[in-house]
Order: sequence, then C-alpha cells, then structure tokens
Amino acid sequence: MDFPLLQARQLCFTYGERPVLRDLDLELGAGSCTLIQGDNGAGKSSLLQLLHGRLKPSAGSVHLAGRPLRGQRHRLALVPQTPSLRWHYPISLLGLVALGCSSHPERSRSALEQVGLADLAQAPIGSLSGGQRQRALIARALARQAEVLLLDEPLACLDAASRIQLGALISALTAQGTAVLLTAHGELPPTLRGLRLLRLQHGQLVAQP
Amino acid sequence: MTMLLEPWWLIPLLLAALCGLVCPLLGTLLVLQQRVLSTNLMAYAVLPGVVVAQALDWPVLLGGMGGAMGAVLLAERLMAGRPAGSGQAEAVLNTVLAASLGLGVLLIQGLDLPVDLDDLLFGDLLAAGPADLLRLLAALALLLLVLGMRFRQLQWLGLDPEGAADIELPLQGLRLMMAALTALVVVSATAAVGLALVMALICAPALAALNNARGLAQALARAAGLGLGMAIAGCGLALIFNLPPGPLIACACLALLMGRRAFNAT
Repeated sequence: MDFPLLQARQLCFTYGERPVLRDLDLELGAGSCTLIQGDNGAGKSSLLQLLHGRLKPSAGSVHLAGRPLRGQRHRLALVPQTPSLRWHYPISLLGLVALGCSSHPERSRSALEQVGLADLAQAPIGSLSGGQRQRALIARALARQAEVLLLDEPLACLDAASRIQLGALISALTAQGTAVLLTAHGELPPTLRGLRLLRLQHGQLVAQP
Repeated sequence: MTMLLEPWWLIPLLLAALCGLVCPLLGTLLVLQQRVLSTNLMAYAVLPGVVVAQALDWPVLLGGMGGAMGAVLLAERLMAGRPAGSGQAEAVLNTVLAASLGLGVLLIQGLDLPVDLDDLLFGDLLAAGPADLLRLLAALALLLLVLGMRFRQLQWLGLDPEGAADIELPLQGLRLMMAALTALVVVSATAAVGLALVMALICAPALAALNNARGLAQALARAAGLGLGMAIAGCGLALIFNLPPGPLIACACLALLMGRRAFNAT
C-alpha cells in the first residue's frame, strides 16, 4: 500500500484556551513543494512544529510513510523562524553542519556549496549574518539528507539575490524527491517552481488558486 | 629548605592542581549548556547531604552527591511549566539554593554534629588527605571518559538542545549524567576550595577560555590550562603567605577575568 510521505489527520492544537488548528488534514508526497500562507497568528509555525513532532497535537496524528513519527523524526528537518541554536557556541560553520552527519563529512561541504556558504566553512557561527544563519540551518538539514524539509519563513531575512538562490535550491531539492513545506509572506522568488498553495485560515487549510 | 625536606605541602598542591583541571573542564561544558546557576545550587545543596551522611555515618561523597542531585531534581520539578525566559526559573533555583544552605545549617545545629562549617564553605587544603586526592582523580578520570565517549552529544547539548531532541538524542539521560558528574566534581573539590568558592574555579577559567575559542576542544584545553595556573598560583601564594588557599584561588580567578578583559581592551 502506498502512503503519502507525510500525513496529518484531524490535527487539532490549542494554545492556552485558544484553538489554533481544527481537524486539519494535510498530505505531502515525495518531491512536492507546498507553500502555506496565512495571517500572523494563524498557526503556521505551530503547524510546522506539530508536523515535526516538536509540539504535541491536542488531537489527531502525524504519520511519516504510514508510521507514527516517534523514532523517525531524524527523517524530517525543521528550520524554524527563530531557531533556539546558541550562535555564540565555539564551532565553525562546517562543524555545525557536520554535527548531524558525522560519518559523511563530504555531505557537509556539498551542503554548504548548495546554499552558497562554502567560502565561510571555517568561519565561527557567531560571525554569520541573519540571512547566512538561515542558510546555515538549511545546509544542516541538507547534510542530514532529510526527506521532508519544513521551512518557517525561510525568505524573511534574505536579500533579493539570496531569495532567488534559495528558490532555485528548493526547486532542485524537490526535483530530487525531497518534500518541502514552507511558509512565506509577500512576493515569492521566480525560481520557486511547482508550488501547491494553501492558506491557513480559521484553523484549517484551504487550497488557493 | 624545611619545606623541601618535609613535603607536607605536596598533597595540598596536587589537590589544588587537580581541582584546577577538573573544575574548569566541567565548567566549560556547564557555561555552554547554560547550567551555571543550577551548578551553584548543587554546590550549596551538598551541605545538607554531607551533614546527613556524617550523622548516619555514611560516606561523605554519597551524602554530598545525594544532596546535590536531590536539590537539582526538586528545582527542576518546581520549574516545570514556568514560562521560559521569564526569570521564574532563576527565582526557583535561588530559593532552593537558599533553603538548602538553611537546611544544612539547621541540621548541623539540630543534630549537634562536630561539623566545621567554615571548612565546608571555604575549603581547607592543608587538612586534606590522600582520600580527597583519590576522589578528585576519580572525578577527573570519569570526566575525561565522558568527554571521550560523548563529545558529540555534549556539543549538541550545548549548541542546540532542541535540535538534539529532533534527532532523538537521549537528552534526559545526558542531562542526568551531567548533573551526576557535576555533583561528583563539586563534592570532590570541597576539600580544596569549599562549596562557596568552587564556582569561581568552575566559571572563571571557562569564561576566559571561551573568548574567541574556535571549538569546544580548544576551549576545554585552554580552560584546563588556565584553571591549573590559577589553582597552583592561589595555593602557592597561600603556602608562602600563610593565607587560606580557597579564598586566594577565588581571588586569582577574578584577577584572571579582569586581566583577560584588560588584554582584550588593548
């Protein structure tokens, strides 16, 4: 039997007393690229964290390849809008990226090249700009060869050239079979192709033309 | 000349040197994991544990570690559910710290035990013996073993705890291991620098070493070197001028931080 790569069923989430998501259904196939838009506070970041297993739903379930997430979370990578990573930590960019894939050092260099940060491989992570940090986290996810990439506002801190570069990277990743789910505001780079557009409103996802 | 003929100072000096290695090595990890305040709590919570151990004729190490671990687990329970970054966690830690110290003092008086509170709080290197030396050697060996076997996991714990949870590292187990190691080091260092002063040797060399460090291994090596220097300098000055070594080592640690800042400024 064929299962979607990532599947959320009847997902509910309540923040304090406020219901954020209500009976939300979502399926991501391998190689798909899905963009979720919505107003501030609509629950986009919460949805990404629920799909990644960082948050627990008040009801409903998330399955990866037909099985519960537990024990498989390493197959997903979340790049949050405000990462908890301690950027003052004494480690180089290459060290950060390599931390998740110790047995494959070549993957780290290749991931840095993909996000355009190869020149900064030996730089301490504390010296990176906001946009570079975002790309560093994407490189870490790439080095881990995550099958599902969840990107929360990945375009937010980037200049125009970097947005175009990231759009092209996401398109290339989906072409290789990675499922990408991202949230974004405003204009999208033209290099981001084959998008399925969804809007999160009143706790549910609605398809957009 | 008398000092060379009768090397009574050898054990205190060795003890200070070991302390100068162990505390900063652990301290570098703790600073990076943002666990300094809970370490301070553990240091003070050793007191009631040691007192209970003396009353029951148990090994001091067991009592001290029990007190430290009990206090930190209690604090974590009281902190659970409080909003992160609200300052409430720090308030809980400080309350448990003060209560632990209070409980220790109450137990000493209530049980009428012959415990020298000054020695416990500020250390007494000159009264230390081979047992203290062995305890510190064991702590150093265990710490090096953990560093050797869990280096990558410890990096995750300090760099990105949420990311560590994402790749399903055994975070609770790692934190418990760090807490047990911290308790062991604090209790073992009591003879040299005391519960109240051990934090200086845990923090100052680590802070100086982390300045512009390019990696954890480099920071650990630097911290150990600086700590060794501070401990030997403090102990040496204490022997020469007949002053208490613990407070001198603590002051040397502050001088290290001030010196480092002045060096950076130039």
